[in-house]
Amino acid sequence: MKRKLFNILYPYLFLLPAFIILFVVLAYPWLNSFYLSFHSYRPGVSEEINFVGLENYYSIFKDKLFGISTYNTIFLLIGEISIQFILGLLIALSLNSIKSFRRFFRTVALLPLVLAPALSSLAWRFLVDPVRGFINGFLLMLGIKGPDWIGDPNYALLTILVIEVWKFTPYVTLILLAGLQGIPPPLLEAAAIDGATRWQSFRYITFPWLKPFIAIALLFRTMFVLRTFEIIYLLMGLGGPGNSAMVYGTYLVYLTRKLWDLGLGSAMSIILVVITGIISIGYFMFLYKGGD
Amino acid sequence: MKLWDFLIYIVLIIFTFWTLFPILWMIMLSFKSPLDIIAVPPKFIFSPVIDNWFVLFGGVEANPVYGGVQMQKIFFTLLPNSLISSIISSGITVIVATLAGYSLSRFNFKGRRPITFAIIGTRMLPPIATAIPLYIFFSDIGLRDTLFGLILAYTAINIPFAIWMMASFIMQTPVEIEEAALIDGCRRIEALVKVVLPILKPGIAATFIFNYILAWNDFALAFFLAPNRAATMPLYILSFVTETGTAWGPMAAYGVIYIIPSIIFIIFAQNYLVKGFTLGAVKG
Repeated sequence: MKRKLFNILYPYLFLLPAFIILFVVLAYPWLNSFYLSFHSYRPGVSEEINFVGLENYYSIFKDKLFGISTYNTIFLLIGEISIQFILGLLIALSLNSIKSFRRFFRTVALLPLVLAPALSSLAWRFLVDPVRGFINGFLLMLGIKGPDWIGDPNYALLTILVIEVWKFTPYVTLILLAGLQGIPPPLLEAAAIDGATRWQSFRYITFPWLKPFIAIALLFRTMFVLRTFEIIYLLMGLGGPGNSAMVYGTYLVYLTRKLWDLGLGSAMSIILVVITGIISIGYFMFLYKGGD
Repeated sequence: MKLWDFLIYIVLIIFTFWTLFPILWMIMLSFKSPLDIIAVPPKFIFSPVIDNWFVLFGGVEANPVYGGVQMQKIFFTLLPNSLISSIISSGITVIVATLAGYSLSRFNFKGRRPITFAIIGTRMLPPIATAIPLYIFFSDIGLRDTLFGLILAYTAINIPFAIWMMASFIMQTPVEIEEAALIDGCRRIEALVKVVLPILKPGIAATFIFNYILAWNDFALAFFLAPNRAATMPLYILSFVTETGTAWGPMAAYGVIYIIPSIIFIIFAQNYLVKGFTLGAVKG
């Protein structure tokens, strides 16, 4: 009898350590922040926590900077996802069709992915710095005066987009490559026997097969674009020149660090999570409904 | 046919060059003299000097041109902090995730599905957003700017994905051996430790390495939770940017130090890393 009870409890016992850590270090702080998001809380200024209702959310949605962040985040989302998808697919198809050096090229692809975002930002600083950077030095050699990639509001977000494409295209590549390697060879052989052209076998076999992999890659890319922060912060400070590169991640830090308002910061954290959640659920629904 | 292959290799070579160049350029800079660093056109061939490294290792008195953090800070605070927080948090994460992953993949119990979904859901929390609640919480209980706090934060952030990884690895191991052990009178925990763990070694290594990289790379959480005493490597990248100018050479050298573990893992544990990155796609 005792043994039987134990068998029921076992799965929960195994989950207990994870549950305790997740509850104490994630769930509780988040609940606390949810509570604070309805309050004004500026610990450096005063220790008082005053209930303000929806005031924090209201002032964030009204804030011009939130609008700019939304615009820039959408810009990055569309730009990154389309470019990374096309390049990632191209490289994955190339990698899948070669016979030698595949491991070498895969090693190359892993590099930017495994590097810390902070380090990507650092490495690129040496390229895009307006005076000493490689790019403008190279352009100068050709007699062209390059723009200020970091300090000019017209270029700042574009620079970030390029760095993100550099860093994360390999992610899409790896996922799609994993998908390509799972295609049963007989499928493609049969198509070849039937006289399908390269395009036809891509269009009717490879691409449909890849669909769920594409969906997963893009879902994760979307989730990660929404958390962009350190590459921008380390390269051009919070929000970039004239806030031209302000995104949700940097805006969140701006609210807490610059305005020193943890109530506002908490509210923005909640907003960011809700946005991430809505987009992810949207993807899942799309995946399960129209996926195949 | 030949032309096609040729084009494919051209694509891949361009990709390789584009991917490697920023890193190689940084490594080159770390061996350049200040004059070579600002040379126009940019120099690919130069006589390497170790001055920049010398600065990092404390060989030069605080020079306004060089500025930046000094050896003591790097080798007695930042680097140990980065290593300790990454290694310990990954260790705890792997242990906790193995237990939880075992439970989710081997038992059929009430609440399994909602728990699984909750775990996947937690993965969606952006670390930069989680940093704020944790910042408030740790400030309240005095864990801010302590290594212990940082380790806890990394552990909690990484556990959900680690559970997912471990569960999928455990599902791939045959259940029969375990059942045999159970019939022989082994208790569950014994079966796990003596029978399942040895088979799971590669999966455990993959999970550990992947979590190590995630913790080692983190900037957002450390930025809020560990500003001074518990500060990690990436937080001091900007310290080379001073009012009198940016210390390019030492900054590049600092970047090279920070890059080393990632390169080591790419070379020696490539398959594990690929497993981690593609897991969500290949196996749900």
